[in-house]
Amino acid sequence: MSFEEFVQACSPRLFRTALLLAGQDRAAAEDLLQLALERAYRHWARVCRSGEPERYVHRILANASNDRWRQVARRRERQLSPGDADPLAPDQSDAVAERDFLLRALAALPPRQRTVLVLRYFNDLPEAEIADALGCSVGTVKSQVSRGLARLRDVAEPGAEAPAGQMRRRSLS
Amino acid sequence: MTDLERRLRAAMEAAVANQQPPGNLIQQVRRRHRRRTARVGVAGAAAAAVVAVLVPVGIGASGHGSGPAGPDGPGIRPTVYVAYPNVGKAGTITPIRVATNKPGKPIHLRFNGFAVAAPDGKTLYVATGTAVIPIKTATNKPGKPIHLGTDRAFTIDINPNGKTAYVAGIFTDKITPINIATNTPGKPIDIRFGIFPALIAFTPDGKTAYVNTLHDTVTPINTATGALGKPIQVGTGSDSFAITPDGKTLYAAGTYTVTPISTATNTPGNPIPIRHPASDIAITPDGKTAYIGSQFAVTPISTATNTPGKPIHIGRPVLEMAITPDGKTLYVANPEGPPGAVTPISTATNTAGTPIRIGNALVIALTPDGKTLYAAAINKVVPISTATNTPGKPIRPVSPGIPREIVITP
Repeated sequence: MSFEEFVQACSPRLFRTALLLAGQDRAAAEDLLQLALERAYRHWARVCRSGEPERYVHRILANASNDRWRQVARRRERQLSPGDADPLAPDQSDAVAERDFLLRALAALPPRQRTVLVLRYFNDLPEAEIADALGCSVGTVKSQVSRGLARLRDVAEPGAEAPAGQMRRRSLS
Repeated sequence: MTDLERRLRAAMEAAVANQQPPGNLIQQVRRRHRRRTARVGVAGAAAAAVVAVLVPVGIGASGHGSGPAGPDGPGIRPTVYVAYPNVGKAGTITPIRVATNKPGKPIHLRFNGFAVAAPDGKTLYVATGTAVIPIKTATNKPGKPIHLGTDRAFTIDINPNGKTAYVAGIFTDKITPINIATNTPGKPIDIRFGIFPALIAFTPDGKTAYVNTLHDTVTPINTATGALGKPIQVGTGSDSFAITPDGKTLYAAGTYTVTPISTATNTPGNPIPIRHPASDIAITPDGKTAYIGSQFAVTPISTATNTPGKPIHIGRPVLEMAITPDGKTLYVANPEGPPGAVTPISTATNTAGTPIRIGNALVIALTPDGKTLYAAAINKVVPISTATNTPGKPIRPVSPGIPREIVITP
């Protein structure tokens, strides 16, 4: 498969993954995808030789995303501000608003947790493949998924402490 | 799946369902690549002017995954091991006796890396991702895994001194040495840069290992102390390594350049331009010519002058190459088809012979005596007589997967 054929066939999927990894920042996602594809292009013969170029590029994408977040600053994890949840207040049961809130909560997770959740639930990758992509053990993937979900549950799950239908606001840090 | 997991999945799918990448993505990637290539070119030239003082190395050659097989092995009958990984599941490694060309009982193993044979041919080492599994070739039974923790084990090569294997993951920055007498891992060597593609090469005296990094550098390691030398800038990266038989020069073939590196001083020479991204490199046993495989062509480079000769057009991307011990024939796997083929090239005339049509051969390897070339494709392995360039009866069953590597024990 030529590089061009690969990009044509796989770039929509890869771009959507990049968007989720980048917290839906379109410019950042485009940059991330370019970076991953350029890196794959450089080593295209080897990437092809793996027999699974898309998996390889996912691997590059996920690692580039984690790297980017590390560079951007060892910046503090973004905390959900009151403003993040306010739009939900008038209509707690609104599915669109809840979805929106979940995505913002996802974007505010530590990069590695966000990456494993995107690869697990958006790309449907099994834990072993995620471990392979991120260069960690399956156990680490499981714990990251578990922690990420726990954090999302904290902010998104209607809990017993919260009034019916109302999401709890909580810092994700 | 819990309700939260379902909602998270639905939220992600809905959020990006209609999103499309920019229409000019390929052009953007190419532009980015050109910018980067130009930048690296300048850096490479600057680096070439700097003299780094490093450990001098000896003679000979060693390359990734090739194993130290030689025609004068310890007398063990050669066995071909064909590795077919299977993502997330147990893959198979099929042993094939060269004498009979019959497949033995497959070894089932979960692995995703490469393999290498010990110099005495008694053990095959397989990188599984997080561990290395030794397999005794006498019994073909996997031994106790050598766990490397979260350092991934993807590529493995053995020091020609026969004492230590070096194992590296992809993107990690650690090389783990393994004492192959005791099968115990040593302290990981931090090379400070991510490793990609995962290439390790040893000088024949085993004193220096070279490792490839993400940053288009090759890092030398003093194998006695684990100390790192200064990273060597290699033009537009390296996708393949090879050291000349006299051990004096390492050739690193990358996207548009081949960089010769003096192993005595660890300094890069001027990058030699090539037209297409390199996929493999093979050096003739007399050390006079380095062949660079790339898309659609093989380019011979005179190692005396470091000048490229006329490209030998193949018509299909070159994936892997193997050169006979007498140096007369270079075999090129060019699997993209249909149908895929292995093409013999006469090194005397630098002309391509008639392609041997055997389907999509992805990996190839020669027996130590050079009499048979094995080509592995999906679900079959084909032995090819190098005397007549005719394929033998395909060896089945192997695996329906994609072959990763062929290792032939001495």
